[in-house]
Amino acid sequence: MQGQATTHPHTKLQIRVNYAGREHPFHPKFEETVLAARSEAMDFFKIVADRDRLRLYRMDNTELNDHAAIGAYNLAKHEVLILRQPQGGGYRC
Amino acid sequence: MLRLRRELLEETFEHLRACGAGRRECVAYWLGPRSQDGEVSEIVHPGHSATATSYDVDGSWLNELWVRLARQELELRAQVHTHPGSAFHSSRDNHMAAIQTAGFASLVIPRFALGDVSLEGVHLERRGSDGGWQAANASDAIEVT
Repeated sequence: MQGQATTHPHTKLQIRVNYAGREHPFHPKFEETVLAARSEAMDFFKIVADRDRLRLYRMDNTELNDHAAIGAYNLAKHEVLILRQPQGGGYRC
Repeated sequence: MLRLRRELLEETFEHLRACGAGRRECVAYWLGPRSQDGEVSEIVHPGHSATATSYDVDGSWLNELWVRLARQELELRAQVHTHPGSAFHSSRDNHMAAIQTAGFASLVIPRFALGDVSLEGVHLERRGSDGGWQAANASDAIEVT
């Protein structure tokens, strides 16, 4: 996957990130990490909590690895990524 | 302030009771149109697994909900879930919420929602602008019409 990332230096992706129904386009560089792209999206959506737990997912529920280059995922043009964290709760602390 | 019709509160309790069956926790979401601040227009019952003391929402189900919210210009306004005993916000409730922006509401219903359909005895928390949770009086923060 790293090899793929280095074959397209400085190329910008065209993706959309959906956070709880709010969708916005982002244009990360091919070699940018998923974490960097996620951080930009979290800033845009004014995330105030759980920044270390939110993750980007493809629609097939594949979780993008924070440390990978986002370009390594062969994302389609305008592909929608889901920004969310595992949701749960309960009496058990 | 959240506003919802009495029928939607009843529907919420029906979901929580029928699914949890007095043995498991359960969760429902309150949705509302983006254009109407605070309005709750719909209840959804997430795909989830649960035990007597916990629940976990299915990730793929959440992905689909996010897409639907965008398509229909809806917002997730509150998560509502049951506890087997008293209502309070546990550390799991604090750290595994659906929404991480200010103003989101989390309502906890005691005793598997087997009591009267009302806001008596419930526990409400709202996310503050610092990301933390703040307890709120449900009767003041939720208007049932």
